[in-house]
Amino acid sequence: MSRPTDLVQGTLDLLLLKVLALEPLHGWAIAQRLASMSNDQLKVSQGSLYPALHKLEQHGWIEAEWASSENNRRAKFYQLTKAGRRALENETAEWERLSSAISMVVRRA
Amino acid sequence: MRWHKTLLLRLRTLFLRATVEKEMDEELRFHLDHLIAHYLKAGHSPAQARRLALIDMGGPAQAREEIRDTRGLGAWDALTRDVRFAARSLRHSRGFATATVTSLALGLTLLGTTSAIVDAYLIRPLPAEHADRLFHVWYSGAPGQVEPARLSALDWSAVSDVIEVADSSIFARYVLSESGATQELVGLQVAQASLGALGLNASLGRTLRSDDFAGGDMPVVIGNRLWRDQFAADPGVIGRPLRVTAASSGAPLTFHVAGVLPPGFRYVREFSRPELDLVLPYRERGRVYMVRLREGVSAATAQERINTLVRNTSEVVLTANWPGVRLESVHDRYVSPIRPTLTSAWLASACVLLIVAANITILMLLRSLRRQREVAVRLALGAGTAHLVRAVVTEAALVCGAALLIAMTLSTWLLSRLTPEIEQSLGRAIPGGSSSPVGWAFTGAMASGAVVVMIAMSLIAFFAMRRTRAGGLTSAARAASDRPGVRWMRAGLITLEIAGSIALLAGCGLMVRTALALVAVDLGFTTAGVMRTRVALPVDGTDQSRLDFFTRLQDGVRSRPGADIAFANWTLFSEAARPQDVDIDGHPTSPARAAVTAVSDGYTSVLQVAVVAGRAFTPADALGAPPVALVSDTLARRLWPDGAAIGQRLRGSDRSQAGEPLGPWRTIVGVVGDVRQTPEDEDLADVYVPLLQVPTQYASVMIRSKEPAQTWLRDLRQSVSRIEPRAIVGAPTSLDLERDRMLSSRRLLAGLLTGLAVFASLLTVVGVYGVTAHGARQREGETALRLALGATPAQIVRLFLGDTAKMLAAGAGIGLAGATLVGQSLKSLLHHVEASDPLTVMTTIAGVLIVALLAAWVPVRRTSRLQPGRLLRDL
Repeated sequence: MSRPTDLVQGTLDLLLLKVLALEPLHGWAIAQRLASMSNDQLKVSQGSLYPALHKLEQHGWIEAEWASSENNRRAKFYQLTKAGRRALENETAEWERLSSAISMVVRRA
Repeated sequence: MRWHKTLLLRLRTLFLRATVEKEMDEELRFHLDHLIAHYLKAGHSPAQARRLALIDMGGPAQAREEIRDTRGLGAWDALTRDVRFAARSLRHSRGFATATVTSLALGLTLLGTTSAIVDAYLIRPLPAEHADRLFHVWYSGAPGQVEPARLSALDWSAVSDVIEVADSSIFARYVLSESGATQELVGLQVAQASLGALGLNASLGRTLRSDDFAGGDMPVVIGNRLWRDQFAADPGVIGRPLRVTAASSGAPLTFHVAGVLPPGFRYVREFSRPELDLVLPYRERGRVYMVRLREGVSAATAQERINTLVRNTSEVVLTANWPGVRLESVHDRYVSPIRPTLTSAWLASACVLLIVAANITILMLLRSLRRQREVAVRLALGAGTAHLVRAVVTEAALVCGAALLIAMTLSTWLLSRLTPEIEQSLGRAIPGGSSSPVGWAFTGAMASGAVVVMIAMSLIAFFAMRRTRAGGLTSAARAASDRPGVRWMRAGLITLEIAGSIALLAGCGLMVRTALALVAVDLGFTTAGVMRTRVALPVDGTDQSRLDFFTRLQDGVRSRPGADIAFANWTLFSEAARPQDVDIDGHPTSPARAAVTAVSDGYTSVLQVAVVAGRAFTPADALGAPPVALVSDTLARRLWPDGAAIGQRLRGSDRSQAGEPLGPWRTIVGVVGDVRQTPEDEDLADVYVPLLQVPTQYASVMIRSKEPAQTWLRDLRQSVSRIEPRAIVGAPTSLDLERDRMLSSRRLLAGLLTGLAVFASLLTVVGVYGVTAHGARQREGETALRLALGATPAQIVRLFLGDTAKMLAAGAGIGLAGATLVGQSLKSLLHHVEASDPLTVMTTIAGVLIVALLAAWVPVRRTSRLQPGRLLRDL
C-alpha cells in the first residue's frame, strides 16, 4: 500500500483534480475512486485527503456543495471549477514532463 | 471571478466559524461512518470495525487541525490568542500600559493636529481653479512705490501662450442706506476673463455668466452674511433690487440680486480680507494684478514675457528706472507670514513624538529586562522564537493601536473646537473652510507615527529577548547586570530625550521671551482707554467741506467732559507706515527717509505722546494757516544732532502718480516722542503733518472717553449724521484689543511650545528616573558589597550619579546643537532676542540637567540607604 507521503510532492492535487474531472464526488467516494482507478495501488488516508480538498477549494480550483449521497445522507460534494480544469491541464502537462524526465534518468542508469 | 469566491470563502470561515466547524465535523463523520460500514461488510464485529476505522482515519483531531490551518483558521486562532495574552500581560502591568498609551496618545494627538493645520494652510491650494498657478503681478519694485501709468492699455492676448487668465477684478466699496442705518459693503467687480478662475459659485440662485458683461441690468451675487443680515435668509431674494451708493463716486446704483454666495466666500487674490458682500461684473478694462499661468510655464518665463509686453506697449508711461514686473505666488503670499509659526509648531510636535517614542522604548526595554525570567521559562518550555516575536509585536500593536484610537478621537475633537481660534490667532481663514483640516495628512501623520513607535517597541523587546535566549535560563535567573549593548542603548535613548527636551525648552524660552518683549515694548503712546473706529466721507467733498466736518465733529466731542478725539490718515496696529523720501531744506543728507502721517491736533493728547520740544499741533493748524510739521525725536536727533530741529523746513518728495506736483515746504514746529505703530515697528523716523491742512476722505478716529463704548459710539454716529448724512462710521474696537491681536500668533506659538516643552520634560524625568532606578536595582548586589566593605552612602550616590552625568553631558551637547537649529527656524519670529541667545540656551541646559539629576538622585539615594546585610541576604 502506498501512503501519500510516498507520492511525489504535489501529485495528490493532480490526482484529486483528475478524479473530480469526471463527476462531482464526496470525500469517501473520491478515496474509493482513487483506489479503484489505481488498482488499489494508491490509498489516501483522510488525514491527507480532506486538508488537500480544502486547500484546492481555497485556491478556487474546486467548489463544494452539500447534497444527498447515495444512501440519503447529507454529504459534501466537490466539483471542478473552470480554473480547476485549467489547473488540471497545466498539472498534467507538468507531470508528464517530469515523469518522462525521471524515467529517462532511471532507464539510462 | 476566482478571487472574489476565495474571498467569500475566507470571510465565511472567519465570520461563520461555528457553521464551518460543524460542516467540517459532519464531513469527517460521514467518512468515518463509511469506513465502519466497509469493515462491517468485511465481517468484523461493530466494535472491531470502529477501532479499525479510527486507526485508518489516523486521528480525526489531527486531520481537523490540518484542515483548520488550510482554511486559515489556525492563524486566526493564534492571533486572537496572542491578543488575549498581550492584553492580559498589559493588564498586569497597568503602570506601564497607562504611561505608554497616554504619552503616545498625547504625542500622536499633537502631531496629528499640527499636521492637519499645516496641511490645511501650507499644502492644500486656495479654493480656486488651478490655484497653484495663480500669481500676483507687482509692477513696482516694492509695494507702495510708483507704478507705470496706463497699465490698463496692455493687450494680454499677446501673451496668451503663457498666461491663461489675466485677472483685472477690483474691490469696490458701496454704501447701503436702509432702514436708517448706513452700512459699508465690500464688493468685488469680477473681470469677464477671470469668470471661471476665482472659484465663484452660488449657494442660491446663479453665479455670474458671460452675458452679464454685455450691459443692461447690473446683476449682483450677494454675500451669505449680507443675505442673512439684510434679507433674513429669504430664499425669495432672487430678482429683488438692491439700492446702494458707490463709495468712490457717490453715484446711486441699483443692482438686481441674481444669487447668493456660499458662506465665507473670499477673493482668492486677497484671501486674508473678510468675506465679500457683493460680487458683480466689471464691465471696464482695468489693470491686471493677478494672472494664472498656463500649465508648465515657469514664473520667470511669464515675468519676462510680461516685461516685454509692458515695454512694447506705447501707451504705458514708464517711471524712471522701472525695475520691471515681479510675479509672486498667490498661495505663498497668503501663507508666508504664518509659515514660520506653523513649521515651528509642527517641528516641535514631531520632536515631542520623538521624545515620547524614546521614552516608550526605554520603558519597553526596562519591562523586557524585568521579564527576562519569564521569557527564559517560556523558551525552556519550547516556545519558538517566532512565537515570542509575535507576542512582542502584538503587545506593541495593542499599545499603539489604543493610543492611535484615542489620538484620532481627541484630535478630531480638538480641531473642531480650536480651528476658529487658530484662524483668528493666525489672522487668516483656512483656505478650505474651518471644517477642512481633518484629511489624509491628519490620519497619515498619526498612523505613521504609531507604526514607527510600534516598530521601535518591537525591536527593542526583541533585542532584550535575544539576549535572554543567548544567556538561557541560568543567566536570566541570576538577573545579571546588563551587558554593554543594553547599557549603550539605554544611554543613547536617555541622551536623545535630554537633547530633545533641551531643544524644545530653548525654543519655548526664545518664544516666551519674544512674546514678553513685544508685550513690554514701549510703543510711545498709551492704548489704555482709547477706542478706535473709522470714518469715510463722501467722495465728492472738497478740502473745505472735509475740514468743516472734522472741526465740527471735534468740537462736538470735546464739549463733553473728559472726552477727547483725534484723527489720523493711518491706522495704528495695521502695519508700520512705509518710509518715503522727505526733502530737507538745505540739509546735506536730503532727501531723508521717514514715514509721513497726517494727524489732527488731538493725536498727542488722546494717545499721550510726549512733546519733547516746541509745540504740538493746535486747531489753528488748518487749511490757510502756514504749513507746519512735527518730527519724531529719532528723526530730529538723526538730522539735527545739535537740537536745532525747530524752525527747519521739509516736504514730502514721493509722488503717488508720475508727474504729480510736490507739496509745500513745511516748518517744523515741534519734536514729539517716538511712536511705534506696531510692536515690531523699528523705523522710528516719523514726520507728522496736520490732518486739517490735508483733509482726507478716510480717517481713523480715536476717542478717549469715560463713557461706555456703546454710548459714545451712538453719540458719534448721531453727530456724524447731523454734520454729513452720507458719512459712514465703522465698527469700534479698543486699542488694547488691537495690540493683543497683533501679538496673538506669537502668543499662540509661545503657549504651544511651553506646553510641549513641559510635556517633553516630564517624559524625560520619567525616563531618567526609570533607567536609574532599574540600574540601581541591577547593581544592588554590588552596592551591598561596597557598603559592607565600608563605602559611605555618599560615595555610592556619587558613583551612580557619575554614570548618569555622562549621559546628561552627551545629551546637553546634542541638545545645544538642537537648540541652535530651533533658534534658526524661529529666527524670523523672534523679537529683541537673538536666535542663539546664550542666556536662554544656558538656562535651559542647566535647568534640564538639574531636574534630570534630581530624577536620578531619588532612586540612587534609596539604594544607598539600604542595609547591606539585608541586601546581601536577598541576593
